[in-house]
Amino acid sequence: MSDRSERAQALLVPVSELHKVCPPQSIDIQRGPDEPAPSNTLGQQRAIDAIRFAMQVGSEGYNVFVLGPLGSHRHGLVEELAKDSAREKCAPDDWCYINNFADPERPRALRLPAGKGAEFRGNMQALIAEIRLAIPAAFENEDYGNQVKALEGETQEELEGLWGSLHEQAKREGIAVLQTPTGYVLAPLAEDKVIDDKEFEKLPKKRQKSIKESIQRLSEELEARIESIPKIRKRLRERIRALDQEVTAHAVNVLLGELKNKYEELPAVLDYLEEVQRDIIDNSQAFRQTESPALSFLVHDSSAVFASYEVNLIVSNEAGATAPVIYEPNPSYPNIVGKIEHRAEMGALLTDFRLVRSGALLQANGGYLVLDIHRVLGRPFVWEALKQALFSKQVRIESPSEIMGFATTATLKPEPVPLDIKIVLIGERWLYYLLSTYDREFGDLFKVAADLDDDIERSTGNVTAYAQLIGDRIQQRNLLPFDNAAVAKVIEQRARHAEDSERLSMHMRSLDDLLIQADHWARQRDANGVTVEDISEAIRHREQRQNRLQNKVIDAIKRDTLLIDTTGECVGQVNGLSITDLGEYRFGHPVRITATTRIGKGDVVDIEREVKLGGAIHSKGVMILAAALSARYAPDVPLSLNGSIVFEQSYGGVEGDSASVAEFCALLSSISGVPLRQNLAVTGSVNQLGRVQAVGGINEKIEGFYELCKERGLDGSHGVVIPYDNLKHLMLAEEVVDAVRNKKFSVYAATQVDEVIEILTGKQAGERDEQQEFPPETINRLVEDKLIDYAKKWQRFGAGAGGDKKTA
Amino acid sequence: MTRKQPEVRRVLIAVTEANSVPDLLHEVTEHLAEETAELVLVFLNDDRWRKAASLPFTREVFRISGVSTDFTSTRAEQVHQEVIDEILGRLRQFATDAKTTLAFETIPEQEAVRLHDLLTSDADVLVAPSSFRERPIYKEITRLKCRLRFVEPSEAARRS
Repeated sequence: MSDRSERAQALLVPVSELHKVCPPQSIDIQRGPDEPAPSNTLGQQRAIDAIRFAMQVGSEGYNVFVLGPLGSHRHGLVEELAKDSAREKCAPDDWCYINNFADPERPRALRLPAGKGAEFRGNMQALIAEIRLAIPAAFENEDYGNQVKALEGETQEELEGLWGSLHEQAKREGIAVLQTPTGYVLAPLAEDKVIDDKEFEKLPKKRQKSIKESIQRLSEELEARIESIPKIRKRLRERIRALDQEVTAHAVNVLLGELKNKYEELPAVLDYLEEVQRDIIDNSQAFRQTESPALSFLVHDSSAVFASYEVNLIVSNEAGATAPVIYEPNPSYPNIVGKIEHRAEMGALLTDFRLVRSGALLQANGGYLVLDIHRVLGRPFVWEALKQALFSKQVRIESPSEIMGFATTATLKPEPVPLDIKIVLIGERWLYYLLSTYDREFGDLFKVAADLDDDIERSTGNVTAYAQLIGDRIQQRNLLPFDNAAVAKVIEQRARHAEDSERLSMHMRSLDDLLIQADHWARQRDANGVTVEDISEAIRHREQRQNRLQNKVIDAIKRDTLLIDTTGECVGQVNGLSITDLGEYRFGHPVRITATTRIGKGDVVDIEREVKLGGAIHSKGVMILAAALSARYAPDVPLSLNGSIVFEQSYGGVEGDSASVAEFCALLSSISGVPLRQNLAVTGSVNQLGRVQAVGGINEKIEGFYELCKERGLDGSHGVVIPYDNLKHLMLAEEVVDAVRNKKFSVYAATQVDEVIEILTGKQAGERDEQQEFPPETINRLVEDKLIDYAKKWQRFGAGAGGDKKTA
Repeated sequence: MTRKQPEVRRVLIAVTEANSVPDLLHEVTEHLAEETAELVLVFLNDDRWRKAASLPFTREVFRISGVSTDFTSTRAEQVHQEVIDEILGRLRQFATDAKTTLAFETIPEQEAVRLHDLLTSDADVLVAPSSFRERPIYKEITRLKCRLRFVEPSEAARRS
């Protein structure tokens, strides 16, 4: 420890700062009987207010987009609030599709009060059943048969009279009416026999003329009478039809009269019943078929006629219930808008109003529909259909193929149903911003954003509420009871998950995972409850399941495949700290950063950027440190240095500016020639004024370097230098805290880059005196002297080069 | 004491172009109980169509449409053949169903005397429409030794 300056000692982070402990005695997971459950609302007041506001505003467009990451219990919160709001509303009306007798391809939508839809459907089914019996029975009545016979008799008499009079007239005039298979021939008679041309010639001329005239006149008369036969038969059919309608009307009026009385307060239903009555009477002959004939598929099926009076109940609500709250987990087009099904019949696809199916929009009509936006956007046509429905305030059920003009089979155009709905979209923030930016209609339809907090303040009150939240979730999942110390440990882990010792993560899925896994390990040891050890076991096993790559990196370093020194000193070389993020798991590990310098024209080259392995933020960090270098040293002379910085053995991309402090130190070491300690690792970003700034992933970074040092043997010299501003984020693993407590590992916190360089070199950085000069033998003096020296040489080199040119 | 009727040897159906065969078949069925009985169809051709067609001013008025057209000799022959074909078709189907043989002959009405060759005893039956009573052939029929059965036209036949 002799090489550490006093100032460095002052920068050591006390053990108490490394991990903010949650005292078990402060934990109380029991909730009072009157206390509301905190599970879904804790720390989300802003989002809750926004959702409630959207649900209360009746104007169009006040739909809500709930922004929050996966696993933040967005659905539970939305469901709870939507159900609260739904309780203040009555159940919406029922909706049915009924046959449009005038245009069957355009089924009509019929609205009924909540609960009446199912009743009406049942009434119509009963009516059909009664009609199926009543109408054939009416036709089987003896009176009906007698009336039909009478009508047919009258017609027959009329026809016989027609022929009889013609035959008699022809006979009187000496003309025979001969039948052929297809008609009649009028021929002259002589002595009751048909005569031929020779016999005709023998007749007196007068008689011949008379015969010709008779045949001519009788032919015309015959033609006229033949023409009148279809009319006579048609008249018979019409009379029978009128009789049928009269019989049907008599049977139906009684049955429908009861229904009309029942629904007299619903004009739309009465209108429909009137239409049904007219249609039944018009189709009375179709109801007379009582038995299935042979080859029934070739004849008209009376059941199809009865089916046209069925009621397709597409939305059914319970009278006295609350408004619906629907969550559609699979928001495909049919599931959202509805669909028109078809049935195969004789090789053709047929449909009718009974095959219209409602989607979630209609099911939630009058209430709330909750959808996951990433699923909505992932299903073809759904987003556009959703917007269309909201803009038009009606649901038009049609198939996507018809919309696209690809329909290849007969389909329907059901009457649109008026829509009054609140849509709640749930999605991640980037999707909200994407839609806000690129979809101009989005803002008109989703005027309210409810932004869920990722974490909450770790205040005393919130810790208590959080403990109760943990208690609720333990209870909901039937887990073993957690003792207070275990709950305290879980709360500490929630701070660690939030990457902030002063906040608690609201990511509920990861909380549930920890609780369930701890419960598992407790059950594995046949315990009756979950203790701190079970929490630790759960954490250890989770890391063990996921740290394959981390172990590979450490192994590569141990075997000197990846070159990282953890002892000694080296000029222009420093251990930086980087984070590898694997989604559900991330880990920190050291990375060697080197810098080289020489006289030049003032460029600091970021090799990562040059080879396009560095991201924009990393490049920005390097540019800032170059600017800091220029600003801090030899401001009166041109910066005459060429420097280059690189992440050694880094073959993937590098992003972020968290290595800029380390890069700056490597650069100063290279310029000054003062070696840097290799038993330390550095993280932090630097601004142009030399201020060290906070970075992300601080816990994993520290633990990553600790793991390597532990593998190689901790001797008390190892440690990390972090930004002071990151102290509040420290929630280090217990093992690291113990190592620091036992002085096997150190954590330094710096606010200025001078502090960092002093820790890394054991030398004073040096501050400018009244003459604006750094003290001799300080790092800053060495750097400035070197840069002035470079500038002079560069000036001489330039003058020489210019003189040469002049000479030449 | 009643005299027992002899078994049926031959059933002869006599029709003209104006008769309905289905009406006669019911009567024929009653007499075809004997498996050995023979069925004979005689079509009495009275030549009325040919005679009518020989006149230049006769016209055929069609039953369905009421339209009329010249009734020519060709058309008369065609009608004659159509009627025979239709009657024969029905009788052949009937004979097949009744598992008996069918003989067919066309006789001009003025040659009705030839019926004596076909119907020689009271073991034979002549089935004819009742309208034959008004035809010249009736005198010849009454002189036959066979049994006679005259059939009234049905309601449907009258209607058509």
